Amino acid sequence: MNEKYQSVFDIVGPVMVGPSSSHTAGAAKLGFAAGKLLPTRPDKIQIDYYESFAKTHAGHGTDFAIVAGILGMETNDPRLPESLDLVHELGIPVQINEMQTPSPLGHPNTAQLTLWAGQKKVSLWGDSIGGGKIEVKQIQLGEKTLELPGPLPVLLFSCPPSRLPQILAKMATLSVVVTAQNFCQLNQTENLYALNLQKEIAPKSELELSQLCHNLICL
Amino acid sequence: MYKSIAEIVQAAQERQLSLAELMIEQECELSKKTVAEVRTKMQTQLRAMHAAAVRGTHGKGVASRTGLTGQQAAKLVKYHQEGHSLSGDTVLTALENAVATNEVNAAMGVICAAPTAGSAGTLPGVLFALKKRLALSEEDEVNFLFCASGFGLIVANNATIAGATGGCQAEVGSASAMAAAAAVEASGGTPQQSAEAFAFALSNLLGLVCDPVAGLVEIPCVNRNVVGAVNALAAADLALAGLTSQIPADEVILAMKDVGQRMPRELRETGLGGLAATPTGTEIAFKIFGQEA
Repeated sequence: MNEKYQSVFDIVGPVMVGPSSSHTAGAAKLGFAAGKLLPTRPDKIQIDYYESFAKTHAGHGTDFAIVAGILGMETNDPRLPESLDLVHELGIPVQINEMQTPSPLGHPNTAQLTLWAGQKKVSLWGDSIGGGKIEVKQIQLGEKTLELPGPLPVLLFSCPPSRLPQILAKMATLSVVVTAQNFCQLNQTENLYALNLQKEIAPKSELELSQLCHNLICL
Repeated sequence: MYKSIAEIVQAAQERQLSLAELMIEQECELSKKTVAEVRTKMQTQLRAMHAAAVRGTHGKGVASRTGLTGQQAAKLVKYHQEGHSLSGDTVLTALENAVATNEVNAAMGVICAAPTAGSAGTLPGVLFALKKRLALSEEDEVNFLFCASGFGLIVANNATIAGATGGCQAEVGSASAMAAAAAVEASGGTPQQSAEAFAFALSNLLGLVCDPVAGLVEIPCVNRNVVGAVNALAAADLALAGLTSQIPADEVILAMKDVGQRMPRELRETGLGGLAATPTGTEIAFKIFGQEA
């Protein structure tokens, strides 16, 4: 099952605010994923665009879509086009860079989103692959960088290495199927794990797992 | 999961099921949801499509923020009502709904991507024309969308549906081919005829570039959906008349991928070539953004 598009609703859908599924809906999803990496609303946003994104972001509503996603709006939220006014009112600066270099991910619709909240800094590298579908390739928490093991959904969390078997056992009892994993050292006691899941995790299972680890995020 | 059009057509023939039924079955298996649940979800997509088409054709219609596109669907409705069109009722209905949907999209309204937002008007154009022509029920319309999405999944996984990767042939071309296949099934054609219609529709749009003026999903995107819809109706008629494509549908998909890979980046959603690079296209970009888009 390595097909990028699995559901008929990846094709007929999403129901979304226009004008572009890759440059607006996909962009909003990238923003939404980046926003999840922070526990609070960011106080500063930086967007680095590559290739097609760099050339057409203004015309395709990519800026407002990414910012709206970061603020937690979904692709069909009619407030999407007003998000730039909203962050302006909230006093959140948005820095946009049109990179001249090829995409580091080798895809024409690539963005790196960097968010700050106080001392915290997070970054997400992702592609919008068409029809509103996205891929998140890499994340950065503070100075720690982690490559994601495969397509979304991906579960991120941190825990001591000795705790991992217990978490995986719990996932098995919850019928959560892990298809790939990757990790990096987060600090002296804990690792940051990224588990590629076969399908989206139920909110109840997510809650149960959050008791066993820290910083649980489902992208 | 069906990996090719040949596979899905063969399964439909062997099991005496419609292509829509096979896609519903596949979706239930994937999502672990019931038939009723996935049908309800598709009905939601259908209603969003319908709402967008109504919004774009109602009264004066909608206009984009830039003013480059808008309110043309309403003109088409008026022209259609006058009864002197060259192409007749079904084609005019397709034109109105395709244009209306993409005008709503350009105006940052809510639409249903099918398979993308830039190509969102093609499927509703064909579907709402057939609804009128064949008196389709809502259940039939939902089946149309399941059938179309099955073909779309095979294109998306074997080639691309992104203009930035494959040009407009990947977006409007794919949408048109999906619509043609579903139109055949809605008209009572065989699964093989759906595959033939798909092959005709996509073959006829190979090479279509993505050259948005000022990088906006307006010119030529809105009217490109007209060609997508009309091409789909024509391809469906060819197949229903018993014509067959010499190149099988799955190979046409590979040809689309090949053409996309050979297409220069200026013609893949960068706003740097084609209509975007014309003197007028460049001037429009300058007026809107104060620089070349």
